[in-house]
Amino acid sequence: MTRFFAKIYHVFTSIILVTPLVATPDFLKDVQPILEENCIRCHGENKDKGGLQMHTHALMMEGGETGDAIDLKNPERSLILELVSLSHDHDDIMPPAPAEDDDADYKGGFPLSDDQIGLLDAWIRNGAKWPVGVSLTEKEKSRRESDLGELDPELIAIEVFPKQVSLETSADFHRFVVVAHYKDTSTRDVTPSIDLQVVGQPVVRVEDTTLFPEMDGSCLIQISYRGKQLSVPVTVKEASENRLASFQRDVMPVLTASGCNTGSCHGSARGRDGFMLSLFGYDPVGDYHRITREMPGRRINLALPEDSLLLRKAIEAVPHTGGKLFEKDSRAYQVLLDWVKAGADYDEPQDNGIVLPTAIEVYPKQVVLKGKDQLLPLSVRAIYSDGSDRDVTKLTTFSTSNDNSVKVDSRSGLMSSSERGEAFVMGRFHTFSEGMHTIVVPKDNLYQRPKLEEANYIDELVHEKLHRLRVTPSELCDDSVFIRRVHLDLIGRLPTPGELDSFLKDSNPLKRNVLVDRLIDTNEFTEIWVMKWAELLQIRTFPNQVSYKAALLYHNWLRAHIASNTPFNEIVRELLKSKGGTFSKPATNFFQVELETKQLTENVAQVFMGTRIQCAQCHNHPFDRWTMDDYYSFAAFFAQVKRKKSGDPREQIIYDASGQIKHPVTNENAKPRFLGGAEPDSKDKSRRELVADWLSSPDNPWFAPNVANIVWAHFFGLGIVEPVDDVRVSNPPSNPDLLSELAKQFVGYDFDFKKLVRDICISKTYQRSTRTNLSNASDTRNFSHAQSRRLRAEVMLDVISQATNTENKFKGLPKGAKAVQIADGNTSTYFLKTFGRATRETVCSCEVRMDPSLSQALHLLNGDTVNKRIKQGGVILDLIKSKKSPGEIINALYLRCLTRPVSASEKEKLIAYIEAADGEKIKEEIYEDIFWALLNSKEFIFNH
Amino acid sequence: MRGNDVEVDLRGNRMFEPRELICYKKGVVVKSLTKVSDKHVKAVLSIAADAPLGEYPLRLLCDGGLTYMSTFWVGQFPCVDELEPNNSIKNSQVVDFNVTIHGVSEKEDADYYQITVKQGQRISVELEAIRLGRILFDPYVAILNARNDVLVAADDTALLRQDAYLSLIAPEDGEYVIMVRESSYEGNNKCRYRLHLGGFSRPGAVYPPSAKPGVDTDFRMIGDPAGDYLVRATPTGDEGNHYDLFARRDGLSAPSPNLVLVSALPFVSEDEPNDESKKATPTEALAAPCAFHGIIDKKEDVDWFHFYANKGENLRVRVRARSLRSPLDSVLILRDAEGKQLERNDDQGGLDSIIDFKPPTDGSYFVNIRDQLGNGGPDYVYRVEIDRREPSLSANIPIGKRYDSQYRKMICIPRGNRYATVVNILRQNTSCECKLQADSLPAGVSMKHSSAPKSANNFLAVFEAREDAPVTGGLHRFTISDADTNSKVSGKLMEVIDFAQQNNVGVFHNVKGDRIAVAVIDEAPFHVNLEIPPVSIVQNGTARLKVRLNRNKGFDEAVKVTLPWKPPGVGAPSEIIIAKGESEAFYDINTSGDAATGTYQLCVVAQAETDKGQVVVSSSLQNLTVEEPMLSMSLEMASTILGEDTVMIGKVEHHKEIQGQAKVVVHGLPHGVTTPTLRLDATTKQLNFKLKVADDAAKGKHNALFCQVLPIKNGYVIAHNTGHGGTLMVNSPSPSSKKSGDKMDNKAEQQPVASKPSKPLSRLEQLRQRKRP
Repeated sequence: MTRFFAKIYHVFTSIILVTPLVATPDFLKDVQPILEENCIRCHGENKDKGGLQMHTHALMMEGGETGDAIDLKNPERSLILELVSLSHDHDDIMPPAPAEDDDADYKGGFPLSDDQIGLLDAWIRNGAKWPVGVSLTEKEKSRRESDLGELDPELIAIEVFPKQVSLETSADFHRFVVVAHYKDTSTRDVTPSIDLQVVGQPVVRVEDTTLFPEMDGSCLIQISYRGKQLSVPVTVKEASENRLASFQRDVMPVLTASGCNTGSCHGSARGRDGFMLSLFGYDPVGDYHRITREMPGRRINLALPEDSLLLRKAIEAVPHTGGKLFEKDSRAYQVLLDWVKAGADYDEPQDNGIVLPTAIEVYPKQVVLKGKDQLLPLSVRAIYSDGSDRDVTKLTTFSTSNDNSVKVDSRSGLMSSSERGEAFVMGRFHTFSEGMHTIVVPKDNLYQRPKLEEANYIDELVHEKLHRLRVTPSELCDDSVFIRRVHLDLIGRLPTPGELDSFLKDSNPLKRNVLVDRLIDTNEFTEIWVMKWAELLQIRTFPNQVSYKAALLYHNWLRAHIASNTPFNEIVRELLKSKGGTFSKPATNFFQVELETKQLTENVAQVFMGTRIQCAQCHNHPFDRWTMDDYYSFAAFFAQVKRKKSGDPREQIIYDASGQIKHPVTNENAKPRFLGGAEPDSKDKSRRELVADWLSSPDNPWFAPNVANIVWAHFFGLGIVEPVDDVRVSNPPSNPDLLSELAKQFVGYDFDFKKLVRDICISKTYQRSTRTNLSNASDTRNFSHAQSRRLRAEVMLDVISQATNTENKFKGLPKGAKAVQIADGNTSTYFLKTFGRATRETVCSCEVRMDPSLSQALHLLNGDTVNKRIKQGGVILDLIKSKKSPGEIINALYLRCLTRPVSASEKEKLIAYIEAADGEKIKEEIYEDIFWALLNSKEFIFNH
Repeated sequence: MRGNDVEVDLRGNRMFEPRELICYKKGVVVKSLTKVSDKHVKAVLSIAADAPLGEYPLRLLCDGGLTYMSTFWVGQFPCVDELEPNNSIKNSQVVDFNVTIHGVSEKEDADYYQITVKQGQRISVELEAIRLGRILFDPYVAILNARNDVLVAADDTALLRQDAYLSLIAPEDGEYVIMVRESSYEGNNKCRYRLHLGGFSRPGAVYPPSAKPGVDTDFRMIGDPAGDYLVRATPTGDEGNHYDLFARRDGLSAPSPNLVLVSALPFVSEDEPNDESKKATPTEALAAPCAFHGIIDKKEDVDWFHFYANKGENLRVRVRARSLRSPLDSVLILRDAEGKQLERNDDQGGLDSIIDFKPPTDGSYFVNIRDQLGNGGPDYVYRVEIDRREPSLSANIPIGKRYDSQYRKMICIPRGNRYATVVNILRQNTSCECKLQADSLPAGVSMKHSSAPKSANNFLAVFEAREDAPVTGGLHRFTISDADTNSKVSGKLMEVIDFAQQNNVGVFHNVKGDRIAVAVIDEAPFHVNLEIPPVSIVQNGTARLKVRLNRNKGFDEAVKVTLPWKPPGVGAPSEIIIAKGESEAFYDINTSGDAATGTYQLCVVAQAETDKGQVVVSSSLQNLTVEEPMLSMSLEMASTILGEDTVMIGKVEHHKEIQGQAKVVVHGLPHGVTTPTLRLDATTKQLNFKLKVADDAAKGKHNALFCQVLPIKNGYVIAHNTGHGGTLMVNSPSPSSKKSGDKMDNKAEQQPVASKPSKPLSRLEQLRQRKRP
């Protein structure tokens, strides 16, 4: 902050103040609000930026590091006036613009209005009078709009959260958030500007926009804003009764929300400063023990509740390494204090019906903020097992996925917009995390919704999202790019020059659809998908675990199913239910590649549900909803998988027998419960059959979107959820509507992913060019243009073989077989390894590495794959023998490698080399060099 | 093919004077044996017209020894060789019907054979592949029609394990193609197979699975595509053995048998439905010992049987399914008369279930049997036996080399010399002392064996051939029996040769027999003798065994000597070498503190490479007695600083009186610390070892000190190791004594004190003194 003052002195003389003279302003009425709303946050009791504090008169007059803030002798030279009067884009203006502020939790600020500057100026000129004893505290700036009587023609509707309110006990309350929707799809927080009216019995008290219970009964709350009206039904029960604080229900959320049990604080495995809590609260019993029973009388002081160290540390009344976590007058403090006062008891063990949260909702779900510095408060409602709900906004921790676009105050949940973009804002309460989607669009955009052709639902939903983002997608790619792209994606090889020619000549307006249909019906299409699923099913040999024969049979089983178009959920159902010998029932190899129950559970979740639950093995998941209970209850489905030796020493028999998995905290057998689902009756039933039926059911909320997403990612280089196997609350889909529609269609197609592939490939979205325009250049997640994707290792090798007319030899496959056909993940070559073929050691989607590396480039440039194959294949010699002209030969090479004719300028340059060559041998070498250069070109290596 | 003569090439190393081809089975007669070279012998075999089909183990006896076992297979059809290329249906090799094809599955090779048959004709194929015993070769076979549709295919089968068979009735006139490959395309030039292709019947199962010996029985052959049929046969053989039942139909036999257990136990066949206790077979409980036969003929089928047993009987309930090559993977549940589960077993070693139990009361009991995975089918044949657990004995020659089950499985005794082998005992329900007897031996050969007391699981057998014994060889049975002549428990010395073994994974095919190949061979160029000192070795002691070699003139190669068997608790190097030209060496042995006392018999085996290959001979058996030690000693902890000498006290305890004086040597002293050798006699109670500690001695705690005490008895040393765990601390000098200039004075003052006391101070006393300033 010092630099602002320092700089100011340089420009001091050049500034001319224009200050309208007004009558002596009243400090309390006129000046205090200006200071409290704009200055005290940084220059108040808690902070002294630049050494300046302004909350008392004495401190204000004392000034800061760079001098006096107020100069009563030369009022116009008071620094405070200088700084607030700078031009709005000046670096040093006070209050600073949010983006300029280096303090992350700054809540935004705006230049003072001329009126406000005038008031300050007049106040200083009149001696800066300050009533004795008045001390200033930070106040939130009133955001109530003026002239609310006017109607806004752009306004479509207002929406309130929550849509109905029920208050139980005197401790309950709910705050309203009201969002206005405008014609251009933008939204805005109008909560400060609404008018609230209680209609009927006054059962509630309204403070600001928060409702508190007064007496039992019900009423309606009438909300109005610029002519739009809404009413919210309110019911109040047990208004006179107090609610006792419960440890699990109330105290644990405070500890979690305040960050007490994070890994860097007391949640660390060895605790911090002698006090340990379970990481993210996985063990409430243990936490209770440590708070109340370790060092008795210290952390909790029942005689003097306020003196409990737990409370005093939290408000930093005594030194606390973790700093001040909340204020003494905060809701969190009150909860802890109430609990200690009530005796600091643990929830009665026999009380099975302890009311715990079952879910939370973060509102609003989706907003489009227009321009910078738009504020919008979030509201979080927790739903409890008894059906009641509570406003837990103040006990929720918030975070944003992109603070370049949307900042959020981690404690209050107040969002503020900044740069164009989108962000996912997440709230975490208790063990639950939920999020909402925010788009920030520029305020003054010359965008106009383009009229776009739409092939199917995919285009509709993508275009809708792009419209909300004010992004215009790229044009469609041309036919030669399309035929190349679709060949590489669908069947893993290049179109031949003949295929290209007839496609270009085809005048059928639906020729692209026809081509897609034809390619989907090929064997090569099957092979690509067998390879992809073989990666996820980890089909490979393991010494002493999966023999080559077992791996091959497993691969053949998968291939037979995919070739015969078995509905994908049926394949998975069969896989998870499978029992028998690993040779006689090859699907059982799924249980043989991973022998550890927990790892197996994690694999099932990651492969078929796309979610990673690993964290929850040891503690509640910090960024997702999974708790240890969820983890072990799901693992219980796989605890009964047994293996035994068969007659053949290489074969194992997989079967079910009794078996349990223990929850490590409670040390009790976990009961099988579906991940994020119900607890089925598993008595006398095969647990694996239960989980197989659940997972593969059309109603399963995870399976179809996950498969749809994996399929989508194949064609776009990234998923709607990315990475595809990391679905979590904090990693939401970039286009949720699109994902759910794809999943819906997939279920509707009876899990036939060929049909889904067709939908994707015939969509205009898939057919967009990689060339970007001004509006979509920075878009990477919304499919407004195609991405250049490096070819996968196997496809690349196959394509090089195809272009050079050479053959590969892999174990178990005849000469000339394709790399995509390799059954065993352990069968590899240097080329495939370098280009990141999956080793199938884990189920992670990250196994396939698509990132370019130096060794790849060097291998293509100098390695024997390209060079040797150019010689071996004899393509050049054949072309020379065919007595074609140099131009024709070059063109043939272009068509062969890049699926396009050589351009005139390229041709001109290349022919010059040929013509300058002396002798046939040299010419041949030059042709080889051209061929080599084409095979090394980005245009060849990438699918674009 | 039966009824024909066939010329067989025998290839190997060092076949210098082939003498005889020893055939384990009747039906094959050696017509001639001709040496082509030292590595190649030709034999003409005459196969009898009634020779049993299948495997014939052979060994070649030469004057220098016996070869490893090889197998030869006899079939019923003429043999043809595979003609490459036949790698696709288009270039299938056309063959006759009813032939045996000799083929090879090369890497990624598929072999196609084409036949032409009429509609309704049975087409059967059976592969002998892994059974040929060459290599782990897991074949796959399919029958295709001319349109390339796979009609039937097989990889592994319950009956033939990795080998496969197929049988189908031709749906139409025309050409059919049989395709053979390695199941994972992992073949190589050793993957040879015999493909029997013809109109024979190849049933997968037989019911009942067992029959009484000598009783005419009708067997239902199950799994022929034309339907089941009956074969009448009279099983023969010993109780518990398998009778080979060949399915015969239309004048042709299946190439390999179905197995029928020979057992005299009374049995009852299941009477479906017997899916619950009320419907259990038979209606009247059968008294144990008894057996039940049944088929788990459909999915989730459960069969119930009940039997009567007397309280306290030692019974074993066992399922025989996989062992009879049934696909059933049984789960056996034993229940009491109320149906309450007493015990359950899935697998016991193999996939067949076994439950041992003693009935808690006289009464009837139930057994249930079902498939582990709930599978079932007409070939899921089984037998449940409830039999008394009787004592039994058997023996074998242990595997001498990893992954080589043939190594030293044959006994080759050089004339005028000896050969020794270890014999393992397998006792069941007995813990008797054993003895081994040869039912027969070659002329001039005698056998002696070391004792096999109750505690021992193995012992030594030493064979000696007289100098005039003729060079000959043959197969001989040996009987292992209870040394107590009142007991009738006895068994056989078995031979198991593993073929097609894969490292770490297991054995895929083996040949079992109760005859051992024993031969008298040419003289060895040396004899070996073991000389054990005529005094005992003590626990925690050491001894030197002298090995003396009598070399024939002209033989001076190095000889490797091993101890094939050691008493429990006795350790020794795995081998010693008697160097070229030397004729004596010492085998140092040691005993652990808990070595069992007693007298044992040992021998050494000597082997050497000669110009005629490796020659192995042994010494005669010699006695070695292990006794308790005569004395023991404990070393007290000593502590010192660098450069300062100290004393370590050893307390002696005498258990037996020693003669004269015994040397005492301290071992395990760190670098820079020395002590002179002391002596003790029968009266010594304490020894004070003066330790000389150099300035640069190794610092730290040295706790590997011990003493070697060497008393002498009758002129022989009886080495004792004792006082283990003796500890010496060598510390750095304390800084105060280092820097003080009057260090020397201090030392001078202290030294007389240290040297004065008549009794050296223990570590504890030293510490106490130091504390007293």
